[in-house]
Amino acid sequence: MTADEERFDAVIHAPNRLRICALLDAVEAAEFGGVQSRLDVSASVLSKHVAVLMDAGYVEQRRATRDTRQRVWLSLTRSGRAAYRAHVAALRAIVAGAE
Amino acid sequence: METDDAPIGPDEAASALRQADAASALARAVPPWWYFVSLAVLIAVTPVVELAPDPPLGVVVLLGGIVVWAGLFGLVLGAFIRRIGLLPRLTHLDRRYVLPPAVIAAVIMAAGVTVHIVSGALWPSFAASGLVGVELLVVGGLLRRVARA
Repeated sequence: MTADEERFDAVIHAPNRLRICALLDAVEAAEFGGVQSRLDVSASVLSKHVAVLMDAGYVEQRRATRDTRQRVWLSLTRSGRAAYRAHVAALRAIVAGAE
Repeated sequence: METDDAPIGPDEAASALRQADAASALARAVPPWWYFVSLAVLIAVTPVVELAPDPPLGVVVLLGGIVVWAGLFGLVLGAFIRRIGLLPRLTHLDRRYVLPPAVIAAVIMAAGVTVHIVSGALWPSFAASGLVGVELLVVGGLLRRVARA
């Protein structure tokens, strides 16, 4: 998939999942709690959407333990990053097509 | 191109793009002040390696110093990443805030090393690394201000 390819992705398009992907696309990885606070969503809502994105192979999570406290780090997979960018390109094409 | 049969209209697409841009902007974190201070100190003290005694003891001291320096650098970086809860994407950094300071730092260090080699004095190395440390503090302050905006 090239960076310029446009592909509307229904999995990504759901508002919260779009925001999760947008945030993760801007970084290498983000801590679960950091994503939760930045997007202002509950842990259960974030978990639900992350699970959908993981099932699609777009997001992966890594657990890291420090000071007996376990943290979960989220990141986009290679295919997830490509799918997100293709989806954004598709959105831009839709907007441009109406102008 | 698969948007000929677009499942949404342009208004919804524009709204989604705005949401995506807003969420992407949330990845911009304000780096803590101690991050830049720690890095500036670590950079400023690097010429200390030149004070190492002659080999073989000097080699041991030098290697030990590198290990300690790298360990401290890793600690600072790790603390920074845990503090902001994000692992920054280097390709996402704004080159306007990265390239000019990097070029200036390279010029300062090159000048310091050159004067040190020509004069044989140690102070140019300390002066150069100190200046780069100060530059890092200035750039850090600027980055914090930009991130807050």
